[in-house]
Amino acid sequence: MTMISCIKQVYDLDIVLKDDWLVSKDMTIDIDYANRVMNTFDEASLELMLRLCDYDETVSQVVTIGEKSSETMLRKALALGVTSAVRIETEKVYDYNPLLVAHLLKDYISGQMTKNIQIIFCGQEADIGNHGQTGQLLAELLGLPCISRVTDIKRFENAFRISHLVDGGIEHIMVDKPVLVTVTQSENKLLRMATLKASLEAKKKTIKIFTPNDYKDTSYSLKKLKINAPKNHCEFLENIDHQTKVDHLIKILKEKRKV
Amino acid sequence: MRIAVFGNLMNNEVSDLTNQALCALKAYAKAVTLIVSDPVEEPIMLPCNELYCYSKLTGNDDNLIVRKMVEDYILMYKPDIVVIAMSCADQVIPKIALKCHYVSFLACNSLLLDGPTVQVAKNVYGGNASAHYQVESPLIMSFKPLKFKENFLSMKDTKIQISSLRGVYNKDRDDTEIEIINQDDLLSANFVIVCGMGVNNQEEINKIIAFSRKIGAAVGGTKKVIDHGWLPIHHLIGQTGHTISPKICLVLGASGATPFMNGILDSEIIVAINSDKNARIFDYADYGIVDDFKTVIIELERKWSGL
Repeated sequence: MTMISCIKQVYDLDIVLKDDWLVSKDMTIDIDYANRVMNTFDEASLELMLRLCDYDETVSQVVTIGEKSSETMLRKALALGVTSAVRIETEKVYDYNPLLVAHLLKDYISGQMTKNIQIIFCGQEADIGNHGQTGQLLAELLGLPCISRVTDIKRFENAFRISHLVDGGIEHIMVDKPVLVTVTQSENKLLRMATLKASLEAKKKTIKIFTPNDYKDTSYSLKKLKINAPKNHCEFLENIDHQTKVDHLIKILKEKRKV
Repeated sequence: MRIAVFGNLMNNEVSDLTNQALCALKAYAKAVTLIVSDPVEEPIMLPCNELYCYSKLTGNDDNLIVRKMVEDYILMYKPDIVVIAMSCADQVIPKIALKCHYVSFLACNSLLLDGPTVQVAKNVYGGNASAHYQVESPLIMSFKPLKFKENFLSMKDTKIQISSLRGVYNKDRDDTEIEIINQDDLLSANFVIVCGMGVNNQEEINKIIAFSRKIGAAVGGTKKVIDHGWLPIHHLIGQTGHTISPKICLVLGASGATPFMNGILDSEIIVAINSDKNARIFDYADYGIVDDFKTVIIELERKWSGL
């Protein structure tokens, strides 16, 4: 049995300074100084996959699209126990087109379909584009059913019990055929940490490089990028003791007739 | 330009998502057809040109019924723009787009028509920026769910058409189970306390939950609080969780990352308590207290009974 997790390296937007949110003439935002990290939803999906692989001989693989710099993230995944890693090589940036991303992933994964792939994992969405569609499009291109907003997967003999968010609750589905899941946040799915020994060993492992076909899409284009500016009108209750602060707070709430 | 909005009606009242879509498109109401699979009673007044009803599609696979409805309508009428105003939008839109050769966007902020030009805006860079796309092909999209307060002005009696398409669509397996989670408290509360990582541990979260019960507030958490398992997933507030719009949103120990802020910006008042004066939350809050939240909450709890 094989499982594949599609992961993306993104900028850590939390450390970008307020004043650096500026759009340049070529409609980009220069945040190259920010750390490169694994997309947070992809971390949750990778952790889910690793938990399912923990207790048997399931082969696990991670796939990413990008330049050589993304191999750092792949080696982190190898250090966590993933069997193999693949980088789909491209110099183009596909942040704004999830369909092209899905085609590139499909080019690689369709060649692996003879290896008894049971589950393909994708994160629910990723920066920069935040489209939230790549997983669903990839499933459709591969002819697989897709379950979105997955929070947990448990193995039951020859099937998997997949839990996902639906309107008004959580639905638990039993699945015994190949499926693609898009994973969202849930409790206690923080990505495990690698040992130093595993990290050093991962540096020596080979990362397979795959060259995809070239795709174009002219159905839409980016016309404008605009920064969502904050309000910047905070009234601070400061230079006073705790009790007075709370008195002011209660006064504000009463004045606004909210309480 | 033909615009098709797929939504829900219950007892002739539109759902919140459907209301939001119709209000967002009110400038183009004459080009809008609302399509539903729910029963309709005449007369009905809606802010659109026509109501089209697929009342003969039944079964328990809601997603499949929606797909059949949308694909049938697209085949017959070839609308230029399709809006899915339903909670299953993110699951069905990409699939329909591929099959019908439409461009797809999810969770959009706005749609603008300028003659033949169609422009869609949606958040990018984790909500820190907004991208405006010009679309050259037919478009299928959804709007970002908001707690929409706007009431629309209805047009005169809306024309109703009933589709003859019949079908029963059930799920492959009958052993699925649904765990119902009541989220009404959080989504309809007038006072919400949101806990960030600065709250620090489960014990403090439990104290805040106990305090919130005393004062009639609901409790939500940021992504990191949910990741740590201190609150369950249905308490997640933010871009990928719930968007709330209470009268008061009290934020404790959250730095103010943009994906989280996108979940609370519709609040009438945001009060932030954080020990770091440079925390981004203060760029968005109406009132700020730079202090340890524990000492403020203890004092607030002590004085609350006097209100």
